Amino acid sequence: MNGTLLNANEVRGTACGGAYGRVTRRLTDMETLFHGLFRSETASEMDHYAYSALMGGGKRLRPILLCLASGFGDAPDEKVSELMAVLEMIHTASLVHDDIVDDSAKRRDKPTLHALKGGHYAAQNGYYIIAAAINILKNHRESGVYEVLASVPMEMSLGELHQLRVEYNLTLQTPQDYLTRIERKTARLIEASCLAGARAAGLDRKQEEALSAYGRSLGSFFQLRDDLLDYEGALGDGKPLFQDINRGIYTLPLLYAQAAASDLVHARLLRKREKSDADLLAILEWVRESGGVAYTRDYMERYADLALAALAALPPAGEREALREIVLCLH
Amino acid sequence: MTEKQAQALLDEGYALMAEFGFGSLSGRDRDAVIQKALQVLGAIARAPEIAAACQAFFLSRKLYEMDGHNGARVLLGDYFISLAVKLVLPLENRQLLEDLSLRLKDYAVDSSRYLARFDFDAYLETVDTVCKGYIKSERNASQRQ
Repeated sequence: MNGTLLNANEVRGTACGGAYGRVTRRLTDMETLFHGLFRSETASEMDHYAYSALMGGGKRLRPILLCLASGFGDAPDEKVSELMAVLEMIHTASLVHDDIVDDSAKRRDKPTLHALKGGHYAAQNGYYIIAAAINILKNHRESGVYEVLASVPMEMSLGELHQLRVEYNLTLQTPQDYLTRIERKTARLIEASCLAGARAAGLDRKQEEALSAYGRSLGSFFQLRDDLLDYEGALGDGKPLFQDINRGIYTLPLLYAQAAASDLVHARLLRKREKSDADLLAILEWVRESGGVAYTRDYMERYADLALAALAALPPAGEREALREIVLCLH
Repeated sequence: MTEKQAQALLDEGYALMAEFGFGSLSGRDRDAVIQKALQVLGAIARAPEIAAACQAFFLSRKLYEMDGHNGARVLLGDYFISLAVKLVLPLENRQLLEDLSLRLKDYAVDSSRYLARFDFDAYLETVDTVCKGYIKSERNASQRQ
């Protein structure tokens, strides 16, 4: 099992031990479902690549959140693991497509499907995964989940299209634009994961709202943390550092620096399509000295606090502790 | 949803296509699928949503036969598929979802192998089949109630 998020010791605390065990079992069921879908005796090449993408070592954050959210109520195991699979498939398909848009050669230190088979094949493989997700969803009418999921993929694609629209444009890319972008691209699906779990389990409105708020804040926190890694010298997900800058996508640390301490030298560097290592180092130092890293870390803490605060409205179950541990683990 | 509202959603998609350099579509590409779907569906409830979903699905495929920026093509394809999903999910019709899933899977496989170009006339027949399948499933559902 590749649920690296659950492997962190912080999540194995005794307070959430029962919840951890349930999540582990549902993740196993989810992966068994993937195996059944894409590794049959008649499996095609498309199936092979779909399975590779789904089993490629992700954190399983979205299915874990759905499972934990459903744990506050009563939902049949099969229903939960199927919905977990749907969320993970939506997320995985979006990553396959992201790699085409970003022209990425590697993800998690492995060649992307885009690099192996070309953008066209990779695009169709993403749709292939989505088709399988829709086929599972057809079994979940009247679960209340359709309403949760109906608009999310469209929000994600609009977020990505907007990002493409504003590439290299320092006028249109502002801190507020960035926060809206990450909400659409990342936070909405994480929010939907929590809300779908709540709906599947028949939770009341107050609990739904709490889990929704938690997911929304966690999603933005998660993306901010990921974007901060570029400036704190750590590698995330095997993606090259500064991939975003090289694509003309500016994240909060840099946007803060631009707003606080813009100058012609760095503006010229940012406009360069091909940036040397020296250029990137100069940008990194400028962002750090301008307070961009500190500002972003502060913003990240705010979202973490919001996520933790949202949990207060939930009953003191193991699931609540596990959701709290996820925030702390990602910190 | 009214026909006007469904058309407005498609128009947003057309605007995105134009913005990202995918040029304009012929009258046939814009209208034929919707006209076919509405002709088959008649006055049935939710006809505008289904017709728009059929058109959105067509556009997600059509993009792969148009010249343009590859990254934008993938994202616009995602947009149109997700529009089809957004229109179809609230109908809570199992048959429709099964048809959407099956067609998306088949087109993905065929397209990945660069099989024959997208056959528009064959797609209109598919629209006919899917819409008739929806009518039948709704009739069966109301008879069971």
